Amino acid sequence: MIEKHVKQISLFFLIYVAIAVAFYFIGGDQLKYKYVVSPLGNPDGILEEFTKEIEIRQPFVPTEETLETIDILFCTYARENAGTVTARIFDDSGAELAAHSLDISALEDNDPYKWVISPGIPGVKGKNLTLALTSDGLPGSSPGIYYSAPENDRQVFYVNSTPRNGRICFDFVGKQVFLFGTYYWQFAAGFGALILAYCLWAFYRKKKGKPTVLSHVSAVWGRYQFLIRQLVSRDFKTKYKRSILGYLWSFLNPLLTMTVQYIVFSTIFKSTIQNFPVYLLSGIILFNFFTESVGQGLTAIVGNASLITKVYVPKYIYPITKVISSSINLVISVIPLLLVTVVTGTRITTAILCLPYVFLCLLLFCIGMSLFLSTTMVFFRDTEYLWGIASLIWTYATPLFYPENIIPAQFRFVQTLNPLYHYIRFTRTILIQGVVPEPRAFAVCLFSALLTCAAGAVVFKKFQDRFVLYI
Amino acid sequence: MENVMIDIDRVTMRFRMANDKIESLKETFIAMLSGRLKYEEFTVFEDISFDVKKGEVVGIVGKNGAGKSTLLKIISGVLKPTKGVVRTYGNIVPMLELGSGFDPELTGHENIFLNGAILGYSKEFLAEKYEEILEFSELNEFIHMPIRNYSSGMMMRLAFSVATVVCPEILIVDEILAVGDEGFQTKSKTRMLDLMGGGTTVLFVSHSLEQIEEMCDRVVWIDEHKIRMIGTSQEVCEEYRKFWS
Repeated sequence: MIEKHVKQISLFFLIYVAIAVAFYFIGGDQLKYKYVVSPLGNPDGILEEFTKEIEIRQPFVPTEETLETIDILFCTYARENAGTVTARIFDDSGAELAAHSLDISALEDNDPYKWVISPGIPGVKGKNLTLALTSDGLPGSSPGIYYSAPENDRQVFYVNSTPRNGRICFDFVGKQVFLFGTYYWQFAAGFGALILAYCLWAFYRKKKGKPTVLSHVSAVWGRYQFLIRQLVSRDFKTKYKRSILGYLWSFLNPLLTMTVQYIVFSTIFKSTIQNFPVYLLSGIILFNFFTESVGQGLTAIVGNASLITKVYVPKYIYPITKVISSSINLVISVIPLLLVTVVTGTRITTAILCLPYVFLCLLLFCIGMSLFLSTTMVFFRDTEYLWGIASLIWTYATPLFYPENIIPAQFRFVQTLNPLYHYIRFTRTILIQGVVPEPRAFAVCLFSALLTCAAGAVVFKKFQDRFVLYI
Repeated sequence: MENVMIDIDRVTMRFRMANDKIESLKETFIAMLSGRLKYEEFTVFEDISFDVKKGEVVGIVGKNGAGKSTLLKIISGVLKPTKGVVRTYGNIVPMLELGSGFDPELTGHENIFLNGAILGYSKEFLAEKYEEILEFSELNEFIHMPIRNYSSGMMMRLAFSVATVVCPEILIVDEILAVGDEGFQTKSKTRMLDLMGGGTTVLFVSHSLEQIEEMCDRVVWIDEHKIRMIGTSQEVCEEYRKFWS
């Protein structure tokens, strides 16, 4: 008996170690840092010819720890120029942090010049820095620098110490280092130790005959596994029963929705969104799963009234199996999603191995919502109709077919507080950018899912004994 | 206390009933505003105790609304009593109402497994007993047809066959003995008698005193939140008849 448990725990632990190591390599640099690019600014005009008479000083405040790159937008007046531009960065005490000379003849017209500062300047987050530019060019063979019109009165730069409103067209790239990536192995070991400690504790409790969540789950699974399988297969078999195309609808439905939305919205949003078909499809598939599973889970208790009043089965099995049945549909519709990704020419990377993670989070989230709504449904039948409206509002509040930045800044919280937005963004990062999302995204997804699931479970548990009286 | 299968120990059941069945948000809101949202305590049982021994067939009688079905629900674990405990020893199989636990879109075959799973049977057990169920239900080739095409008699035969295929330790029957045609009725009665003879404990609710007299060893008469009488079926049925005449 003990041997069996030791085996189970060590197998479980080995799987964990394997996942942790694999994740380190899949995640790669995305786990350690990301580059944050400030906006270049609109090229609204060109300053006077940048000859040796002129010195430009542009104050700026980096938002990240390390300053890595600076881009400056030059024009060449479409002619051959000669000379050198010197760029320097000073801090507020006037000390020079970095300097760089660039050959004017090598500049491209209307193209940002990239100054890679190597090594980057560390510890500059929030400091007042100045970018100073000088030139030794002669009139007639010097470049020009673009500037943007001021957005507010505080935007100032200096030409030969004379302040001007606005800013020159430049951007700076900062490197944001994640603690999680830096101390990845420590985090992984700590989390692993926590899991191991929990397993041992559960094992100890079990030996003493006291229940734990783990032992409860395994007992319920052992006892009701067959029922859960039967209920899931029932839902799956009856879903497309009597339709000619059958399961093919799980393929076609998201594809057709995508096609319609693509035709309707492509002229409006296409230019601002990278890979619009994948953008649309990933949103549609995840959101459809959400509305479908929660819509089904909502009626799970009321719809099974005749069983619940006769046979004792843990009641949460009904809403949970509904969500699980819908998730089969989700898995099927991943196939068209990957197809479209490949057809549109996006390379599929190993980052895709993180897709199950976000699906699992979404599943937990939907289970939580179903538990909560199926409870309210028992006491208020209006829930069904209210949910119809609520899910419609939710559809429009989530950036499914419009770009994320279309929402005005004061309403951004609608997105930040919307777990579905995070799940969809996570999926899009994987598929469109082909990289693993930043550690924060992992945490946000897991946290929102666990929170919703726990809240739903608490509400369900509190009221479940009274269900029989109301259904 | 040897071989006790069901032990009902000082059970009290009270419902907190809203004075109307208020189901929607709007109705609650209006009721709250107009101050009508009062709850009434409604007592079904007050402190009742009895036990059922292994192999006994116990009938429960009482007038409509006396709480016979509620008692069955408490015993099968669906309802939690307000006070007191019910201890049961062994697996409980309730005979489901016509068609509940069946999915009309699935075939009879699939429904046997679905319904069996709901009743708590294992997969291996059902696979093993499948032929027996099929034979008993007399459905033959119809078994591979979606049951939405079944007649109610066919459906009931299937339900009865699934529920009684196992020798459940405790069988709960809520007025469903008249199943199918004359032939099947005789057959199902025989099966019931077999089960009872085979050591299954049966709890049986019916309005038909003849059935109760015929099948039960003991009868519990529930009236006015209490057990009015408990005893052999002859005694109780006699008193019960007197009460109504």
